[in-house]
Amino acid sequence: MKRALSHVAYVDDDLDILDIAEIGLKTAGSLNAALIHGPAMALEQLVRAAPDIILLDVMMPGTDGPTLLQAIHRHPLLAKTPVIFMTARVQPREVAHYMALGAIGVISKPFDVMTLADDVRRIWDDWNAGSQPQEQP
Amino acid sequence: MSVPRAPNPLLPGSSLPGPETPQRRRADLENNLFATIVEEAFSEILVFDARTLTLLFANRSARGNLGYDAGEIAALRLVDIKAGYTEARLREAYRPILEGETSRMVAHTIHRRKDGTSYPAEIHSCASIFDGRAVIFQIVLDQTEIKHRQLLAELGAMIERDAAETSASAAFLAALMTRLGRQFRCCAARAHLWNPQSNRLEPAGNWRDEDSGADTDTLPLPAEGPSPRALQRGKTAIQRHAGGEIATTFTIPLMIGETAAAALEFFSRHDLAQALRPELLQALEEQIGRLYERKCNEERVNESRERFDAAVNGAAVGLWDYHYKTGQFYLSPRCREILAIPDDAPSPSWEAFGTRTHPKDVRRTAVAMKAHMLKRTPYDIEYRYRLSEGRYIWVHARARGVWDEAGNIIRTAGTIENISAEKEAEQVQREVLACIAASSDAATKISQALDKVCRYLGLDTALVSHVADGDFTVRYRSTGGGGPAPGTVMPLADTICSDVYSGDVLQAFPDLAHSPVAGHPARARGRIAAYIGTTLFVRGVRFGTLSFIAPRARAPFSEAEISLVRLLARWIGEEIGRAFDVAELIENDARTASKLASAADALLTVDSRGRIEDANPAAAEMFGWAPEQSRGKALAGVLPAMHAFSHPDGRLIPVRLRQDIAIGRDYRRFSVLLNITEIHVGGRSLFTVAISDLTEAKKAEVAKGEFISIVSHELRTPLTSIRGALSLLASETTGALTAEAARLTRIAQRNCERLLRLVNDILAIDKLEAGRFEMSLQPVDLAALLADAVAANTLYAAKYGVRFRLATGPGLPAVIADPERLMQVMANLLSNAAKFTRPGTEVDVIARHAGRTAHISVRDRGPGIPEGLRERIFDKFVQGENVNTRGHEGSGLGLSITRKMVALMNGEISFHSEAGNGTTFTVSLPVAGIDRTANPGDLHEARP
Repeated sequence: MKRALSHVAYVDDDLDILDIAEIGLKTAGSLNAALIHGPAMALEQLVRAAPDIILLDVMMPGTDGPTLLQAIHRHPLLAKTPVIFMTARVQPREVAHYMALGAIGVISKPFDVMTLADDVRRIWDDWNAGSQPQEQP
Repeated sequence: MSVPRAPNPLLPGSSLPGPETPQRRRADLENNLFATIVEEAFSEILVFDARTLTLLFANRSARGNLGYDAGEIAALRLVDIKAGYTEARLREAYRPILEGETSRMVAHTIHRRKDGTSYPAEIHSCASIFDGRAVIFQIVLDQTEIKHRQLLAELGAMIERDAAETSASAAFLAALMTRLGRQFRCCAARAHLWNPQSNRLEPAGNWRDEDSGADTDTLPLPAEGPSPRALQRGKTAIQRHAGGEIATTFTIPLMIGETAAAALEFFSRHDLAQALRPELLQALEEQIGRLYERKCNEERVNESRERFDAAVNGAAVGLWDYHYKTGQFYLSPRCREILAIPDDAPSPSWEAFGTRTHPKDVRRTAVAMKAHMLKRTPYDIEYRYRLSEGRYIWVHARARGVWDEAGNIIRTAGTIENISAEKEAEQVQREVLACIAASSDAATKISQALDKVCRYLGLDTALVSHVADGDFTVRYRSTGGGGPAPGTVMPLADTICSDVYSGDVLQAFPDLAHSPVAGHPARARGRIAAYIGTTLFVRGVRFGTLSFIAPRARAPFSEAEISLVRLLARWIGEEIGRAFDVAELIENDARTASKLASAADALLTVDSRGRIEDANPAAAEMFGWAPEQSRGKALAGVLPAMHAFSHPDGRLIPVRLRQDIAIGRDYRRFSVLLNITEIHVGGRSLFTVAISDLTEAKKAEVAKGEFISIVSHELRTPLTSIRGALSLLASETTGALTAEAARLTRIAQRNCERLLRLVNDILAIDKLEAGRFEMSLQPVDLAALLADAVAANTLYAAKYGVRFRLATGPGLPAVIADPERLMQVMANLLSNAAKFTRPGTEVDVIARHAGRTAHISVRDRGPGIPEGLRERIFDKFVQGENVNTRGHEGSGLGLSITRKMVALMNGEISFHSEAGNGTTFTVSLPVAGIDRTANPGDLHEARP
């Protein structure tokens, strides 16, 4: 079912990035965004946010992105929510690795705050269209 | 003289005067008979008048011998016949019978013949009265023949004596020359011996009669000897020579068979024709020839007997001969010597021999003798014979037997030798061999062997030396005796061994004082009086010497002793060689073992069937094996992917730096780096497998990678925020900015980008250098990519007032490249070109292809790359000076990253620069085509 992206959740351990991302997603991107300071309590906040798509930082202390992803996939309410990894590691193999873990896309950090919303939308659209997950520079 | 001839009443046919009466007729008859007898008598009969000494009558024999006929007789006077007598002497000679003192007379005298020759005669005379006259009747016996026979007998006897008294045939010939020469009044004689090689009679000595006066020494003898062919049996040549000093020569040949083995030539000044009757010479020839032949034979026999004796005595072999019937032993002197039986002691009996045999050998000798007697096998046995109480010698007896027709043994004869020396040598050899074969170490073996042989030789000290660089080092020494201890070093020249070593011979000096090396300083210094030594070879190479010395001289070394020293040298050489081999092995083993033990990596020795033969401690640790537990394990158990580097038959394929997975202890899988090499040991093919645990390395790498990642992340994270914030500000999303604020924001943004680029570059170059940079190679539409690149950088170039001009011809093929990285490369080149070209000019981007390669050129119209910079242009942190740039804009890493990236894309980058005329960078990339097997999406771990 193809529908427009409206709700985005971003889990990151960096508050500044979350702030930036918020402005970029909401103000510049006209999306509803839940900025979750994780990884602690991220899962609960995600459940409460009930986003369409989750942006997940990879490098987080304690529970890193991939681990949280597994928890998301196990969670009955979150399992179906697509996840995009936010990471500085964007070598092809790494990307493939993240894809293999179940992410639908990878956005490299530092991301372009101005285009962040569009990039997320594009990944969402592509995913909904059933095409190959793409990485965005 | 003419004498009236009275009628000779003695002649037959004559008759008595007076009337013819019957008595007268009877008397006539008697007279005639008597006359006939006398006339025809064999003996010579002479009648002569005693007073007138005229011949009255000579019978036929006398007339014949004397050479007168009947008529001449009457005119003969006695003195004509009786050689050397005057009438007075004759009368004197006959007076005894004339005066009646005696009736008969026997005398010896010489009669002369009419022809002047003479002959010896034995005269029987008697006197009588006849017809009123005193007459003498003489019966004459010609002694010539008798004399000759006498001479022959005498001569013969003397010759026989000569033969008996001379030992050599040559001496016999000399004696003959003297005797016959004197006998026949010769002045010289010459002996000739036949030379079989030249087939001539050659002079072999002569005799000259010193008593014959004159100058016999210079008497010229005919040069030529008699020709052997001319000499025949029974034809002794007597030659008379007219003129010259030599009047007669005669030659007696000494025939053996039909050939003249020798010849005796005689020379005389006298005419010997008369005295030398051929029959005499012939008889002499026969006798002499016979005697000479016998002499020659005797000589030959003696010679061979001497040779035989010499051989027998020289060989030190005793001869013995046993006659079974008599039970008697014949023992030659040498045999007696060997068996210590005095010459004057009687030959021992068979039993006596038996009692002298060593008890342990009795049975053996008895068995051998029995076999010899019954089965006729040659008797050949070695046994011990008791010389005296408690003292035995080893003897070797060999003999053959003689059997009669009935098959009984008659004799056994043969030889006997003392072989004690050889037996002793054998015994010592066996003992030395036992030493060598003993399982102790080389040093013990060698010392023991040295001791044994030293004792056997009766010398004090034995040394084994190593010679190198002119130094003599004692390696081993016998335990007894004095002399230098092992380890002593001295100059080789100071030792007697120096001779041995350089000459490579065995030298034996039983008495150094009387040897060629008597003057050697070592003799006095070392107090050496006896020495025997030889070169030692170890593994075919000269090593040193083996020598035996003593302070006392000894008997000459026997063959057996010398052989033993040579053998010992060989054994010791072999032993030392073996010790070396072992030492080397041990050393090698130790070194190898230490290498293996200390190796941090696991080292396995694997056979050609993939079974582990050996594992070092690191391997045991890595795979959790107990020592010795590794043997026999399959390599596949620890390297499950082994088939990837094995032949179908299981043999390993040598590999280098291959990453693989190994299964360690507790079944833990871990990354490893493999190195497999093939080695050959003892004819077998083995493999050394070196396994490096990459876990740590990987961990380290991962850690480093993680570090870089973490650092980069840490660096980027704040940058994200800064960048994002600045973006939002600049975009006036959050509100309008004053011009000042806007300008400041732009400044901040610019530098933020620069920082970000720097961080990215650093991360990129690190990855590129570490080989961790992944390229996603795929066919890329070059034209499209270039268009994108130009588009992406146009804004940047516009800042410098630079325009890009893209020229991609039609039919530009796709290239194999990583699109993102290629974009990065183009960005680098384009931005550089924009930076450095003359403001307001254009930068050309030209793409073309040639065969399998596509070339992308970026051409600027700047000042060009300075000479000094060209070599380093691709190096890290190299920046060009550009007055146009406001501050430094680049990190200096651009071109180095670009080059590495291009290389990872299997391409090349080059440049051409002219001062004042710009620079052209060209990137060449492989065209996507038939022989490119890379598939889209393939991940290749690119290596720098």
